[in-house]
Amino acid sequence: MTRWTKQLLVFALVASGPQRALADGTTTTGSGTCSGMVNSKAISGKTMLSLGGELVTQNQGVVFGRAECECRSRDIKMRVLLDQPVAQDGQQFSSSMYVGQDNCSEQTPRTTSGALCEQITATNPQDNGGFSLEPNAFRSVSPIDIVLPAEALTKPKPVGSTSWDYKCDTGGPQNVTAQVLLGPDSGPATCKLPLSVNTQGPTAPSLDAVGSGSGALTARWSVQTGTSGIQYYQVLCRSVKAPTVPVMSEEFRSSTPYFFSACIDGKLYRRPLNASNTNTTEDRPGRGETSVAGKFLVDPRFICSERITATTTDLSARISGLNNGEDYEVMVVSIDNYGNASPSAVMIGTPQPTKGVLDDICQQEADCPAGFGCSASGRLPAPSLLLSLSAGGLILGLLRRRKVSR
Amino acid sequence: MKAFWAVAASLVAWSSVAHADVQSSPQHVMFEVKFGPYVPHIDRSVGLGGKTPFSDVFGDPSSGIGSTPAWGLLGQGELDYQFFHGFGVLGVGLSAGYHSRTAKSFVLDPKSQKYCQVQDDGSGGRSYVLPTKPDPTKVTYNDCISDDEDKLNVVPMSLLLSYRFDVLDRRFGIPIIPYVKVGLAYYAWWFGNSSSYVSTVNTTDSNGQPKALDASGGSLGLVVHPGLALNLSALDPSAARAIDQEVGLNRVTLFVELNYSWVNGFGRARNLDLSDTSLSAGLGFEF
Repeated sequence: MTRWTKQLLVFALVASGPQRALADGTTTTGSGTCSGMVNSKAISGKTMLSLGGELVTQNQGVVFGRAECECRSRDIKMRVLLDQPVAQDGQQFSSSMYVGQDNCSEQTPRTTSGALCEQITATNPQDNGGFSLEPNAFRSVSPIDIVLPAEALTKPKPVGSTSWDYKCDTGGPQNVTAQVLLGPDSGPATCKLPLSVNTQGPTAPSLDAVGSGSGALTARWSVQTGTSGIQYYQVLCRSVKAPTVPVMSEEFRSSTPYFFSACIDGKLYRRPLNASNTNTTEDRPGRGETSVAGKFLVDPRFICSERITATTTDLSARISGLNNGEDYEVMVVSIDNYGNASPSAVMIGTPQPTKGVLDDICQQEADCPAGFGCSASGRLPAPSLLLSLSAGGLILGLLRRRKVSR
Repeated sequence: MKAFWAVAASLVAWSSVAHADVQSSPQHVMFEVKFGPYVPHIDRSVGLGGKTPFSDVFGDPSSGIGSTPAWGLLGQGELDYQFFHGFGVLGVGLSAGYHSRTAKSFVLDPKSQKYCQVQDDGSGGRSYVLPTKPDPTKVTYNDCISDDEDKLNVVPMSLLLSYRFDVLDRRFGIPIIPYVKVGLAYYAWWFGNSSSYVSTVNTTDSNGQPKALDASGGSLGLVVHPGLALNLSALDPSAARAIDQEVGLNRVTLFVELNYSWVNGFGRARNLDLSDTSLSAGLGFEF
């Protein structure tokens, strides 16, 4: 085997590794596996993640993280696809579900105090009524969707904990495995789905200034040198006078994606993300919803800029289309690769009219400088016309040139 | 003096070697690119009544009131058709270029609803005041400016008659070509800002009604460009001849020329004065 062949092999192994980082906070293989014996019958199959009814493949992004609204479940499901039915009619077996350590399906972690191994039921976490794990569903090869509570995914409750305050902001990425156990506890078959959830927002930017322009504001911000983990910034703004009404036009908002996840009124708004990172699957708070008169939240309705890549040296954005003399709240959010957003402090800016050189000259129209034979409002001479003429002259000149015989 | 004659003699001797007896291809077209400093003198425009709006906005805040702003880069291209080859070369040509500069525009003070004014501080500098009553309020430059920019764009265009005295180069092989160009100039200009490519000026018409005008126009004038060119083809005559025979490039010159422009609408009112006198340098290609 040559050195090059070895290198190619190493590359192929790395490229086909079992885990792949997905945007927005979840790392998954795209699928897990089912294995073990139920009623003396071997089972096989795979598991996948589905969000909002769409299966997550390795090429798609999903949203987990601190934006998971108040740690409540929002249509996150584990799909089990068996190759063959687990048991025939009449054969009894039990089923249960756990979230936590990878070896949570083993007896010891499920009973060891402090181990991350939380059993999921209709009452755990609280109000988990959407959960259902019916053994009979495993008697066929039809897809089985099982609701996953975000609470347990973002922070599993340790075994033995009598109370557990679920908080989504747990300070960093963590790996958990959602697993379905089929058969007796002493030796169940399992269907596992490994997940990694990043619940830590990036470093918040420092909004340094909001400068005035004519019908515009310019936000300038900074982050400490050496800050990592920020992929984008996006500026949000809202009118102080009308804080519930989006500032930017419907056209702007419909054509500008938001690149962060947001939690508004207990509902999660995942950043629109698909393979091409467009907003075709965008989901925003409705225009009629009014709950934002208080604190200025990280709300997709109030985006006032495109995304700004973190690698740019000019950390500023100009917001135009504003009303002169009206106060606006402005903030900038830093966004990590998973859609987690960290907001800056809010500053208030007021657009003001400006004046340039001609404003001093043109007190009256008659004072305005004019062109040669046209008024100041006349059309500009087209330099392209001159360039075209020049190019034509050059071609003519070259055509006239005759080569002298040697 | 001896050194001068020694150099002259050397050039003549070199020319006798360099000027080989090979006929060059016909030569009718010259293309030039050149760059140089430029600053329009807008505050000299007729009808400003002593105002210096260009200096106020584009001038250095630490300079005196009405002082000329710093120069900016002007890039130009020129295409000539050479119609006469005899005792020198006569040609007609068109040139066009582009110059732009930006400065922070003044912002309306929200409290007084006034714009800053620039005044002489009495010590050769300028000061900024808000015309509040009963007494003006002294402020800083940063208090006066917005985050928006005012951008002046100038496209100087000229129709030129040129004469190149290339007799020294052609007949004696001395690669120095004095020349002069004179012409009619039209400098198109427009102001833009952070919001728009061509900004709008709000004014009032003869009936006192508000009227918005595009901040654009043009000024007519004259230009004169005396210059001196060095024939770079003389550095390697044999290679230059080969290039001429292959692609028809007769001569490449490096030149320095004076840009004297008198472009103010011939002194008429309502014309921006875009005149300037500066040097520029560039390369010329004769085909």
